[in-house]
Amino acid sequence: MYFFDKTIKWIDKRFPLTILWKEHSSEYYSPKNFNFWYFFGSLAMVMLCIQLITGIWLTMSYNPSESGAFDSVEYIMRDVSFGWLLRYIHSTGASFFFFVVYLHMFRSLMYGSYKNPRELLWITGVFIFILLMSESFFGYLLPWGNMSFWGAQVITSLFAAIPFIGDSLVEIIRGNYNISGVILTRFFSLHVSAVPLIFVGLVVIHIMALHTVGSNNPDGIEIKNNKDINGHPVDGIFFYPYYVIKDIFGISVFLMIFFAVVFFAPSFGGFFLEAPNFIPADPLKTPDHIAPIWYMTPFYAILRAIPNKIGGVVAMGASLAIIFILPWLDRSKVKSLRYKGFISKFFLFLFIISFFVLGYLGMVQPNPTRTLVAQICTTIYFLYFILMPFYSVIDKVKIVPERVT
Amino acid sequence: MKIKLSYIVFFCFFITNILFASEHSVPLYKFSDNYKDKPSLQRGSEIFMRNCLGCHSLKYLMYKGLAEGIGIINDKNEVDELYLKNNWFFSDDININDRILSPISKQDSLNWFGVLPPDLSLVSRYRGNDWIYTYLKSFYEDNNKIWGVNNLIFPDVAMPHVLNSIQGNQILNKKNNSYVLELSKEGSLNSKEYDIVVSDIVNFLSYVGEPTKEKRESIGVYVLLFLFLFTILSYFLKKEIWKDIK
Repeated sequence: MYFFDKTIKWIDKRFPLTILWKEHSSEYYSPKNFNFWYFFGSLAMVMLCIQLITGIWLTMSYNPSESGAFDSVEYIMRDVSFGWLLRYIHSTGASFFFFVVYLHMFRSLMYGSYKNPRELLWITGVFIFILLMSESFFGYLLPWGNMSFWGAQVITSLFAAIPFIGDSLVEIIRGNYNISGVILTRFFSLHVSAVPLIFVGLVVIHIMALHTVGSNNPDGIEIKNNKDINGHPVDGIFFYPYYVIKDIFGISVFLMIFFAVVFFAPSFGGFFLEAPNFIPADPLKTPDHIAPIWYMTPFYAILRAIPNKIGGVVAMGASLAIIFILPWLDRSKVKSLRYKGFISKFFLFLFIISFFVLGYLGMVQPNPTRTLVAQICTTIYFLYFILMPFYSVIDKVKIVPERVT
Repeated sequence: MKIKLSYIVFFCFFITNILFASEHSVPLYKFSDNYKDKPSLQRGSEIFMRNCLGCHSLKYLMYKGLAEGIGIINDKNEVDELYLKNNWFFSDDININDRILSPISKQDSLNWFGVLPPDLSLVSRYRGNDWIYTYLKSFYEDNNKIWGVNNLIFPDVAMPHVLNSIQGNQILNKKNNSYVLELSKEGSLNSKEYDIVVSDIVNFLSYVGEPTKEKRESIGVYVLLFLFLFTILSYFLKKEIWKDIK
């Protein structure tokens, strides 16, 4: 122990190690009433680490070229020691990453975690979400299966909807008239370097912003407003050891579910790995049905709901952009849904239902009825945000207690 | 409220899963693979090497790795090369470390079939086992086709019915608005025996699609067991640390 203390002291003289540790964990106050929904932040961190580590190892054996990409993935799956495990963890990890991020965001919607003073926290989070979507889109091309190819074909062609410059913009993005090895190496570069770098940076900013304003909680009460004589929040407990051990418990439950999928159902019935992606990219053979992977489908359904191409692109862009301004749309006096009235609960309920329906509709072939349902759900999706300044004001709120419950 | 919402979220998740079921125009037979049935895999490999390898490669596999994986080993626990020479290799030039490639040339296959016969390493993952099983049982006589056969679930397929001599000939009849296949000429095997042959091939192709499946599932059990114990441990540690928080 003597040696350990001495080393820490040596470092502290040169780097604020102990100060950082105290500030961010052993003396960082978190509200003591976190519930189930508060596991998903740390779980998202775990997923990020899993994706980074497996990604580094996959990159060691992957070949980003038109002729070699598909073969190298099969090489990883069959010939590289435990390559199959790395690849299944990475592919299952993508889906689980979105799963926990969606639940993390839902938590914020429920408990008003985006409201003053946490606007920047929310905005950096939405940036992370969009970055995650682009990261998964770039990564989806890399196996160079037929669905990879046609998915990239469809999404890059969206840029052609921009007036005047659209067609040349698509050519610039693709570096060719079609999806080819050129865009494959571009996406590979973005997937393994540019996006992860920005991603990690944004996660650091997200956590720094969180530790500046402090965590929200299921009651939406600021624990900083209620301090004891020593100036410590009465309802706060230290992140270390209390939430560290609680999160470790949550992580191990989560990993059980995660690895059950990785080891026993890595394709997840075609949800995580799609059958058409087991034949190499073929520009002459369009898959019967092109659909993005499940986590993209709500936004894809919004895109398709609008009969006009440019209109669809604008709607999809708007559906993401509107999330950013949420902190200024919610004018309710209380944060948490626990103390909000019926209208807010009803709108959130409708919003979640329509989001799921959109997710389903984005997976299946469109027909007139489905398009109509998609249009209704798209409308509900936007109304949740657009009407919020009004219904959050007229909604009857309950009295928020002094202390957390 | 919080409980209600979480129920709704999970309920919706399951509903979306149930609604999303794939639709096939022709119903497929069900086939469940069994990688533990090594004799079936070995029979399947032999049928494949004799009947399919003439045109279809398994380019992602090597003879040696495949033989190890499906248990073609001798008393010394090494790959039984003699067996492979007698039953698998179509020429003396083949080395045990070679990839399993068809001897057919590109030009020949284009001349004979008009298409390149696909590599079958991943066919079980692309088409699914049920599809292959149904496909191999769905050839029927059609004199408009160059090989005299057509296939119910793969119309106008360029492949001849390679197992014709053992299955016999089938003809397509229409009954109550649905198509049925009926045997018009007996083959060398009866229909039960033929089903076993097809099962062995599909089981083999399913293995070929993911040779690591056995390892995956056996390791998985230990990983989950470890995580289960770790979860219990962390649960009690959490309780202990949190006991003074009111």
